[in-house]
Amino acid sequence: MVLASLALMSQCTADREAVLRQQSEASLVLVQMLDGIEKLLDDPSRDLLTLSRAADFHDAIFWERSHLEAEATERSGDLRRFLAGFRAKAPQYRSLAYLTARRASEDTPWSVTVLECVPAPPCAGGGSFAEGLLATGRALLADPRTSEIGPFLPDERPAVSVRYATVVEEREGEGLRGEIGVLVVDLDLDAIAREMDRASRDSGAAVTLRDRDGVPLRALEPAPASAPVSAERISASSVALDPIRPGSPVHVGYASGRVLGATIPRFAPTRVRALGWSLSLALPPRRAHLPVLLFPGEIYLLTGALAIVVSAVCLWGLGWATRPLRDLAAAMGRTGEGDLRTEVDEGADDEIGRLARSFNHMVRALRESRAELASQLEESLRLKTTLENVIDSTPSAVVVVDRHGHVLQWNEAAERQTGRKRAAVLGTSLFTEVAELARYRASFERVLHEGVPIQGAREPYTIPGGETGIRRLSLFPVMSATGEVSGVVLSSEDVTQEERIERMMVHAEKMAMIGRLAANMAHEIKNPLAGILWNLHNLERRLHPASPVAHGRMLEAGLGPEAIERFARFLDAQKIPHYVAVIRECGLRADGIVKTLGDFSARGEKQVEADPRTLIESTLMLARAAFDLEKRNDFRDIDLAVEVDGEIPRIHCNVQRIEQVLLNLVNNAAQALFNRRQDEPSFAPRITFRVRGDDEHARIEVEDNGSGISPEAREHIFEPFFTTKEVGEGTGLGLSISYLIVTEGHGGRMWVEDGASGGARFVIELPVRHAVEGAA
Amino acid sequence: MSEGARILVVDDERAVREAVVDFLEDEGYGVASAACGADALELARAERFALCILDLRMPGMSGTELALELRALAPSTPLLIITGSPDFVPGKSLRAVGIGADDTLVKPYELATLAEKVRHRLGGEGAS
Repeated sequence: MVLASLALMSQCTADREAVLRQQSEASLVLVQMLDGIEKLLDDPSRDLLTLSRAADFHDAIFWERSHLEAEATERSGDLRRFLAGFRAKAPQYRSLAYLTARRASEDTPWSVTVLECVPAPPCAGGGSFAEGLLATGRALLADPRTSEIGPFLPDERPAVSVRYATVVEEREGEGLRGEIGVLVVDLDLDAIAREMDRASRDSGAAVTLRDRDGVPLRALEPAPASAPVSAERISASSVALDPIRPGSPVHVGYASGRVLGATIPRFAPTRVRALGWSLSLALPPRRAHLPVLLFPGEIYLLTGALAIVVSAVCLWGLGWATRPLRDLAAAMGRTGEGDLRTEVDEGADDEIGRLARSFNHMVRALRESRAELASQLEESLRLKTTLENVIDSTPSAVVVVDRHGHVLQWNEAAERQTGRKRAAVLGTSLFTEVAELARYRASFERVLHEGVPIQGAREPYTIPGGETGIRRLSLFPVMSATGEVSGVVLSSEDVTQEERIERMMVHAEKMAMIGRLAANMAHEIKNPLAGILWNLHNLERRLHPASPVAHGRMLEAGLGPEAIERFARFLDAQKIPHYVAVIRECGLRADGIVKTLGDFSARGEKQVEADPRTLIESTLMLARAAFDLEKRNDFRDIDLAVEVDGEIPRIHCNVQRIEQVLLNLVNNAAQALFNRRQDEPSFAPRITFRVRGDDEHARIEVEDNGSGISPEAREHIFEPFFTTKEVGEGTGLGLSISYLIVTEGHGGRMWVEDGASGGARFVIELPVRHAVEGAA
Repeated sequence: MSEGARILVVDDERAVREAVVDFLEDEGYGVASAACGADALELARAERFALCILDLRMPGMSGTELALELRALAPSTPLLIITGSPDFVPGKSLRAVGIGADDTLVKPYELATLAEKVRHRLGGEGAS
């Protein structure tokens, strides 16, 4: 009866091969084993890469080579020690060898020699083993495409090792230029056999590893005690497994109706070129079939089958047999509903007992794998949260999109820069959804196809709220494990502040340079100017009879008073004294300009403590006096206001200099206002002073309600000789000197901005220097 | 031209040097001139001048160095320093290297000022 139910279960299982493929214990064992073997096969590639880049490896090569070239008979042994040291840590390598290669020119073949091999080849000279090494080296160097790391399967059968080799660029040293080497390791197939052995012991399966031609590389059979099925039969059947279906990761089949096998065809580890190996195992049917019951769908089906069996058994009146089966059926029902705590009494060592044991074994395995899954899920959720926190904490806007431009990540800075919420853009197509980013589509495509990052230029953008900021956008490829571009990161850094500071620094630097240039020019101009004025002085004194010197010398030279008188009239008629006067006047004017230029470098003058309000008062007094003298315009026509905001700190300054600055600003403002009133008689001119301060600075603003300053003019307004005034109204030096007085002379700042009414607002910020305690 | 105080004028700029020399001659002084510090020293070794007028900024030996040498050569001869740098305070700078200039002038001064300073230094001695 029980056998009948088992047969029924076998039948169900056989009909659901697809399910089996996914779920059978055989496939689990295979996959685990595959993982282990893949790792073993991958490791040499990684080790080769690491080794070929290791500095001490290159040191060892260098010393070995230097030694070899210096004294041909002795070896330094550095390379041997290095390779042996490495092999001691990685016993899975049967051997490690280093070959050097040189060639006369690009067209001649490589001449390859074995520089070192550990352990030493079996017989002196290396024999066929050494030949094999040289062949590997030559093969690798001959074909550039194979210069990547690759496994070379040895020709002999059965194989004992898999060979890996890589080209090593030798560090350039004296006499070593242009030579390269080949690093070779042989992975012991016994290491793979050990992995298979472990899996075989755990599952009781016979395991076979075949190469691409189906020739077994290793076949392991379970020890007789743990497997009652004949080893020969398992091996024979597993060979017969077929057909191998492409695309199916695990294949399960029968042989002789009694043995079930599973095979993984032609697997290829990720880092090595396709090996075309296959792995198969054979299990006794009961071990192969029973764990399949863990699949819920099957469990319902089998529960049904069991129920029928149980009913039949009840009808037959075999009460003793029904209880364990009933329990088992109930447990299977609960398990099918997801309750994994269920275990049944294993009872006696009969078929039902074995069934119960298998069931318990399966439930335990399920419970463990579910717990493991849960903890993995928790770990990955934790990672995801951490990653999101990191991305959100980045001040740059970070947006991650997949290959199709769909948004995968959108951090808080991206929300700030665009004003778009994460929830609204996640999963949407970035370049259609966020219009302002549409123009990056071409860059995105380039990053996607070329896999190289693009660093964007600085550009203005509109900050949500209307202000204009500057940002720098960069695009980086996201590389998948297989080395393909799986998406793109757009990172946008707000550099508004940085840009502003840079511009200020450039401006300050420019002004300082202009100041130095002006002072030097002033100095250079003074010599020729002195030459002009002084020689002119001598000319006048020695030429015109009106000068006692000239008159005396003319008498000495024998000229009579009448002739001298005539000569004087002649000179006057020729306007000679006038020319002399004009030249002197021009020279003196030039001298005046040169003196002003010299003000640029006026520094280190005496500074006293002053109240900014007093400075404004005295400036206004000076301004009124100056305008009264001109008579053309009445300063009283201007509405003057002084606004004081809060506590005003006293400043240390050169009072005359700061008054000069303020006076200059008031004059400029008044000039602009009067000019405007000429065109527009109803215009009501106004100048507003504003004073405020904190612990660090005192700030004085001079604002007019004129037509303001254009952005172009603002760029250059503090440069010498830049003027918007009519010719003759100013020298174009006033603001430059003011700027230098404030910045260089007082360590302050000065700039111009738009006033509230559209006029110009000049701002002076002077540092407050706290009085030294105890100073008199 | 009366015999009297002779003045040494040192300036590398010919237009300036000649103007000063002619001017002082017209004022009635005997004048010797040099275009560089080395020539000036040679003249100063051969003759005791009543006053030396020297430019501060010259190629080769600078005015400061020359002032030091002249001071060592004839400690009682007054030095009148001419400078083109508005931010250079010659008296201060020369004191810093251990000598005091007796007077300074900043280019381009009025020649009348020069005449005044020379008269003051020489106490009217030698003027015609």
